[in-house]
Amino acid sequence: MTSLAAASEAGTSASRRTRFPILVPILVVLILLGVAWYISAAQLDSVTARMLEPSNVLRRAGEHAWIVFASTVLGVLFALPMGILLSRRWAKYLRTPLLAIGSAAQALPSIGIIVLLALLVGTGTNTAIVAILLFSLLPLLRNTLVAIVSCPPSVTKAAAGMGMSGTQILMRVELPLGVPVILAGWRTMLVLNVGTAALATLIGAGGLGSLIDSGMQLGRMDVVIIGSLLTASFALLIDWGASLLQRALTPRT
Amino acid sequence: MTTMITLDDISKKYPGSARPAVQNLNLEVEKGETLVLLGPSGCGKTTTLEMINRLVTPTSGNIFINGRNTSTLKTTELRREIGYVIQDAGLFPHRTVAQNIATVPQLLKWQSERIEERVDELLEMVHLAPDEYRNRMPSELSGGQRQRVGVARALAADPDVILMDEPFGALDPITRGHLQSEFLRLQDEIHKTIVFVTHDIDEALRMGDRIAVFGPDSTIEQLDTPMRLITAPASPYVENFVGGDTTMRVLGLMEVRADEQSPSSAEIETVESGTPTNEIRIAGSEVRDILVTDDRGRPQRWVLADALDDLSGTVSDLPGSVPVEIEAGSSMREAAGALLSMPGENPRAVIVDEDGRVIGALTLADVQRAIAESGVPPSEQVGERV
Amino acid sequence: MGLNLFEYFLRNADDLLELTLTHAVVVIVSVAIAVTLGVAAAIFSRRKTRVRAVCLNVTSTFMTIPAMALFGLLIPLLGLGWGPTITALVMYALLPILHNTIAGLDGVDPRVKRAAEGIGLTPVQVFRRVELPLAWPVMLIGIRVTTLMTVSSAAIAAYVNGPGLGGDIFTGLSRIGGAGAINQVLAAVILVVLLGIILDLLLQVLGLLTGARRQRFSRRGAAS
Repeated sequence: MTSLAAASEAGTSASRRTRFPILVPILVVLILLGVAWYISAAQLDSVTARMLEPSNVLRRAGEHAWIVFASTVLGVLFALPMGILLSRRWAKYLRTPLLAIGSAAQALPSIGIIVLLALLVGTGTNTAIVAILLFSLLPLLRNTLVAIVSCPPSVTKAAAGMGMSGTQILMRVELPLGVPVILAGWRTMLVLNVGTAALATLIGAGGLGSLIDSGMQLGRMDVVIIGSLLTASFALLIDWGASLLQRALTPRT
Repeated sequence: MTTMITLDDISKKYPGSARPAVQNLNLEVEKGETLVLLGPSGCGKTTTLEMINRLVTPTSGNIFINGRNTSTLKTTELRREIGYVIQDAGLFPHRTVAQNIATVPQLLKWQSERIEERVDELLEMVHLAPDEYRNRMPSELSGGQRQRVGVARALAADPDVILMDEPFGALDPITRGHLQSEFLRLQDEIHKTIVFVTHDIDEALRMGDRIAVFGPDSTIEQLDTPMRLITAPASPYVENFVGGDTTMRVLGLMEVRADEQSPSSAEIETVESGTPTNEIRIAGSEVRDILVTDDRGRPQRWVLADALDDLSGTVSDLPGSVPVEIEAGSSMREAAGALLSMPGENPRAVIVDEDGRVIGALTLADVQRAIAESGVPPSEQVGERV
Repeated sequence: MGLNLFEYFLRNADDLLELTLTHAVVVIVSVAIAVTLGVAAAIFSRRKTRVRAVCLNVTSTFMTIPAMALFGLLIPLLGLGWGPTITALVMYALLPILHNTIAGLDGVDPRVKRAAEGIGLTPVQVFRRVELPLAWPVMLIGIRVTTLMTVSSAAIAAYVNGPGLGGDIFTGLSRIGGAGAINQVLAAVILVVLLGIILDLLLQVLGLLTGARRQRFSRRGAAS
């Protein structure tokens, strides 16, 4: 189970390295220009026009950004310390069962968690944020744990032998060395958050997904397409930004 | 000699294992000496080492460093006062060479200028040009260079005691040899108290002032000087561990010196190049081979006595042969090897000092005499046991 | 609630079993197609660094696109139901398979390949008898990751009338506040996770039968 987790994360971190970083923003700009041209040039009926009004689109984008931001910040605040705690020696026997549960939890459907939580505590933005972060916690938690635990023993031994305290070893050696793996987990989390945020509209939390959903409800295919393009562009842009941040923060070794 | 480290009746038993890893061990390490802990893997030598800086806590017994009981000290502070070098160096891969070396000074909150100065000084000390290596990452270094940085890092805060756990174990034999000699030279300058763990008998003989041979049951079989260990093994176990090759090992422990150890030195006759040949005949009453040197005393070639019949011109005109040089301080084993590979009935090597100046000569007769005086049992001298 | 849920399972056993089997079929079909395409792309792009980079970038871009958006874009092309469902799931499933196949093939010790060539195997034989079996354990991990992911994302496909357990989740959502909505959603979520666990176990058994574990074992031995 552990090997599965590690391999999958290593996989995403390696393959997500954007090799042509400039292509993504160009693609997104082209999509946005196309959407803007369509909205201004095409003959839209009043319902469609109201849905595609710039103020409405921007409001939806703002909601989307807030859901992603809040779930990511809360997720990091929870997953990072939890990963560190689980990496401590006393948590050794908790790790294997937790990682096994975590591995099975990969099959948890995001939509199921969101709907279930809405049924249990009510709809709304806060419910969506909590559901989304519950769904995306695992990659960061697991990668934080794996990053610390897989620090070469010779390095931690040397650090201890030179008189670093446990906290100093964690802060100066284990965490800095684990940065690439932790960042990869963070990026996976972010991508999951952006993707799941599109479902937030289903429980009344708005976001870009609501363009898609209202287009579907009202049978306006152009709104569905534009909503999808905007949602996808948002996701690509976030992932692109994250890749740049990841590159900037990864220490030279 | 004062005692630096005392292990007083130390035992270590890991939970869940039947036999103790270390049992009732008593050991004293003198100030300024290199004590080697030698033994097969699993004999408890590394556990013993790690109990000194309390990476491993003894189950019973006390350890004193400089008279202070280490169990009364804060472990992190204790460890900052002790240098520590391990196999593969254990460098921090995300920090530069300079940052690695600066680890302990930073923990001790030195001023940054002082740290920078110290880092450069240490890099010089381990023969890495500071300007070139300061900002390199460990991954950009060879194994030998990494290990030098590891040594520099251990020396950073000028600790009195250094613990080394198979420090050269991961290196190829040639690099290992270089680093061993360099470290010996360094130790001559800094005189640290060193506890050195190895399973390599040759390394132990070379590095140690004294060697503690660990038996399989985690006790010390013999604690003695390298020479005594070879010539007077205390038990069949030690004899077996030290192995055959007694003669060569003894030679390996002896340094080439241009004194009474090599009587041939007294007989060597040197002449500066350009000296007219007829002056030599007057100077020496008896005609012998002479060694032609340059104006700084460095050997150029041997001129055989027979050739000196030609009295016209200078020594530089006479036919001769290129001399084999041996630097003083290298091992007799190397010297013997060089002599044995030379042609002729009575091979003769020139002993030079660090600057390459002639200070003596060495023949096989000198080597034999050295063996005879070393105390190796005569039966062992004949041939090497298998 | 516990008893209610149990009763719910009993009362709807037939329907739930059918939905679960449909869900399983969706997942198996999607993963099978993705494995075929992914492995083919990995083998095709073996010595072509450019092609390989493009393949990896395209598939990782797929993975970045939110499911809602991907389904929304597929509706005009493929309508509702099985078509967009399988297409979207295959697009998501490609990256782990492609990546792990490449990693597995690249991870084969070149000395082993040389040895195989040295004893006279043809390039095709080297690939079939040496490289593929050695890469298989890593590939299998990719397939397992993909399968778990697909089981989870297939639930969203109900948004475009896709088949499977997702339908019950959306029905439960539309009956919000109504009696039994929670049971309906909870049952569907539990069955999705169970399906994921069962499929993963089956793949692990497949791994055992095909000797993946033996190799992983020796690999670990070599590393320590």
